[in-house]
Amino acid sequence: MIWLAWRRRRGAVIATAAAVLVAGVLLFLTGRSMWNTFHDGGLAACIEGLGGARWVPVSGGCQDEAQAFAARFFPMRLLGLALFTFVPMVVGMFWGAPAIARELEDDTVSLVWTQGVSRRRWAWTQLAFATVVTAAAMGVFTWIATWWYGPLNAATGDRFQWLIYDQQGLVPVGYAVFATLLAAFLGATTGRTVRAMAITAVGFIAVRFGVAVFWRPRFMSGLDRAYPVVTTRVPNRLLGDWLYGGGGPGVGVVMKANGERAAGGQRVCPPTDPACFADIGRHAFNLELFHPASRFWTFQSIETAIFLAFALVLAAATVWWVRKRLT
Amino acid sequence: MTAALETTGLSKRYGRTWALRDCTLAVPHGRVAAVVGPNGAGKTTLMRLAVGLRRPTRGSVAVFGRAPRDHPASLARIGFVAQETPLYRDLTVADHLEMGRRLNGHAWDRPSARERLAKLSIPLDRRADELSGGQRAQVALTIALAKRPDLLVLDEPVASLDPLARRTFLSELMGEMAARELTVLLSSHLIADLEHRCDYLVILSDSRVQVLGDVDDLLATHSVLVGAADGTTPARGIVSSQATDRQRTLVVRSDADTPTPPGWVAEPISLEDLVLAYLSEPDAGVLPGPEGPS
Amino acid sequence: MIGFRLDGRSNVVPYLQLVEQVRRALRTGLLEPGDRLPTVREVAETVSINPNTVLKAYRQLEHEGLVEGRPGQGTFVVGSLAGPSLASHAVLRRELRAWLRKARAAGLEPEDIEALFGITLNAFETEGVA
Repeated sequence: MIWLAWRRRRGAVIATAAAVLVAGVLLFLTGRSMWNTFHDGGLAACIEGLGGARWVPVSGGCQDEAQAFAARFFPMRLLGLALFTFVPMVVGMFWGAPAIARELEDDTVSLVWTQGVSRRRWAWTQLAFATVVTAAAMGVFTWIATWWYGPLNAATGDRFQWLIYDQQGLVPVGYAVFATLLAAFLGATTGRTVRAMAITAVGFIAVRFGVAVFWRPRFMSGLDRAYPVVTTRVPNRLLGDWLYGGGGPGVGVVMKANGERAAGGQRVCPPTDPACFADIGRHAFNLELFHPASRFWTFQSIETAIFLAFALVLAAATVWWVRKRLT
Repeated sequence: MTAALETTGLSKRYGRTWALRDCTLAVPHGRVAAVVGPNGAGKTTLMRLAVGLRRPTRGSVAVFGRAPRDHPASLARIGFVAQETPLYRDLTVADHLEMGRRLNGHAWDRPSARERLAKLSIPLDRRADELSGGQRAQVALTIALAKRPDLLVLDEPVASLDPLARRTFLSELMGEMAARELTVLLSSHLIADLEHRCDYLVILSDSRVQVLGDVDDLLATHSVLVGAADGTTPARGIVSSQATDRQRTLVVRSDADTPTPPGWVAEPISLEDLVLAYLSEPDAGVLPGPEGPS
Repeated sequence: MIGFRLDGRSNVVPYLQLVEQVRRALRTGLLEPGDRLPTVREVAETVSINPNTVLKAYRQLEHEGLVEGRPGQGTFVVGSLAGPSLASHAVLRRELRAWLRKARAAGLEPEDIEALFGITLNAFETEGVA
C-alpha cells in the first residue's frame, strides 16, 4: 500500500524535495549575508554585552545598532513575510487535495477498492503518506527559516510577534499538516481536487487567523509590568517579549498616577524635560501586559499541538467519509 | 448451493433518482451472466453494488453468501473491471502488476499475468496513459484475472475495442471460463457479442429487472411468428409485434407444446432478437417465481 | 485434431452443431479411435463460445459412446461411425460424380441438385423404414 503511494507520487516527492532544496539554498545564501553583517557590524557583540538584562538605559541597549541592522534588511524581512506566510498552506494543499480526490476523479478507486485491501487501510495510507511528506518538507524548510530569522529576531525583538512567530520554530509544520488533512478531507467530500484546494485556502486562513488572534494570547495568562514615564531605564526590547495587549495600538498603556488611563502606547521622558510629561504629571507610569520571551517555545508547542489535533480529527473524519459515505 | 451472486430487493437511490429498484436475482456459480439494457437502466449500478463499491439503499446483495461491502475479505474472490477501465495514468503496466501482487497477497498469479500480457504483446514498461483503449482494457482484465477470482464482474469491457480486439478479448474470457470454475457478470451494448457466450440473461429496463433467466430456457420458450399483416394474432404471449403492409412479425412466448397458430410460420429465435423484442417493449417481462408478471 | 466452427445462421443449437461436427469427422474418417479431441478450453477459446456449451457437447458424445474423458489427459475418441462402409466410400463417390455430371448436363443447378437429393433421400428413408 505504501509502495503504491510512493510509486504514484514519487514525481511529486522529488519535485517537493527539489523545491525545498532550492528554497534552502536561497535562504542559506541570504541568511549567511545577514549573519555575517550581524557579527561583523558589531550588533552581535553589543547584544552579548547586554547579557540578557531585563532593563536597559533609555539611550542604550544597542538600539541604534539594531535599528540600523533592521533597516538594512527590512526588504528581506518583507520578502520573507510575503513568501513564508503561505508556504504551509500551499504545501498542504498540493499534497492533501489530490490524496483522495484525484483517485475519485480518475475513478481509480474502482480499481484499488476492489483489490484485497480495506478502504480503511487505503485511506489511512493515502493520508499518512501525504502527511509525512508535507511534515518532512516543512520541517526541513522551517529549520532553515528559523536559522535565517536569527539575526532579524535579535535585531528587532519581534520573534514573538504575529506573522514572525508563525514562520519559525514548530508551528509551520503544524500548519502544513493541518492544511494537508483539511485539503484531503475536502477532497474526499467534494470529490474535486481543484475545488478542494480553493476551499482549503479559505478554511485554512480562517482557522489560522482565529487561532492566532483570539486564542494564542490566551494560551497562558500574561504578565504585567509598570515603569515610570520619567525614567532613565526601559525594558530591554531586544529580549523579544510579546507585548500583546493592554489597549491602544496593541502595546501597552500610559497611566496617570491616580490610575486613570492617559494614552495608548508608551512614553519615556527624561527628568530634564518637564514639558514632556506636563499633561500627565510626573508620577505617570507605563503599564505593559506581555508574555515573556522565555515562553516562546511553550507557545510554539501548544499551538503546534492544537493544529495537530485539528489534523487528527480531520483525518478520522476523512477515513470515516471514505468508508461510509462514498457509496 | 450458494449462488455466486444473489440480490434481494436490491435498490439504490442517488439523491431523488432510483438507479436500481427491487432487483432480485441469483446467478448460479459457473455461469456467464449478461446484463443488458438501455443507457441509464441501472447496469453499472448493479455491477458496482455487486463488487461493494456501492452500498444498497435498500435490499441486499451477497457474493458467495456474503455482503461484499461489509466483508473486505470477500473482495479477494471478486475481480472487477470498471467501464472506463481506469488505471493509474503514470504507472507502468509492470507497476500495476506489482500493485496487484502487493495488495492481493498469496492468491496473485504473477506468471500467468505476465504470460497473458506477453501473448497480447503489451510492453510491461509502457505507462498506462500511453496504452490504447484496447490495451488498457486487457491490462485491467489481466489484473482482475490474476487475482484468481471466483466472480468476475465486467462493466462494458469491450465498448472501447475494435472488432478484432473484441473477439480476442471475449475468446480469452471464454478460455479462462473453461480453465476453472468462474462466474462472469458482463454488461454490453453489443448483443451479438453475447450470443453463444452468455448462458444467463438479465435485462434491465428503467431501473428494474425486466427479464431474468437461463438463456437456453428463454430461447426455448420464445419464438418468432411470421404471418400476414391482416391475419388473426394469437390471443396471448405476444412480446413484440412489427408489421409492414403485407407481413407481420411477432415475438411470442411459447413452449414446445404450444401449437403454431394457423396462418403463421414459427421460427426459432436468436438471443439478439429476443433482447431487442423486450427492449422495444419495456412493459413486457419474464421473471421467475411468483413475482413474475402474468 | 479437428477444428470446430459455429454457423451463426443455423437453426441448430450450438452444442448440437459441435456434436454433429464430431460425428461427421468420425463418419468421414477424419477422426479415428485413439485421437484426442481439443480441450474444452481450446474449443471455447478458438470458437469463442461458452465452455459450458462445449462441455455439454462432449458429454453428449460421451453418452453416445463415441468419446471418453480421461482425467488429466483429455477427451479421446473411442467409437467410430465409419464402420465397414468407409472402404466403399471411394466407389460410391466415383458413381456419385458420374451421376452429378449427368444432372448438370440435364441443366440442373447445384441448388436444384441439393433439393432433389434432399427430397429423394427423405422419401427413400420414409419408404425404407416402412
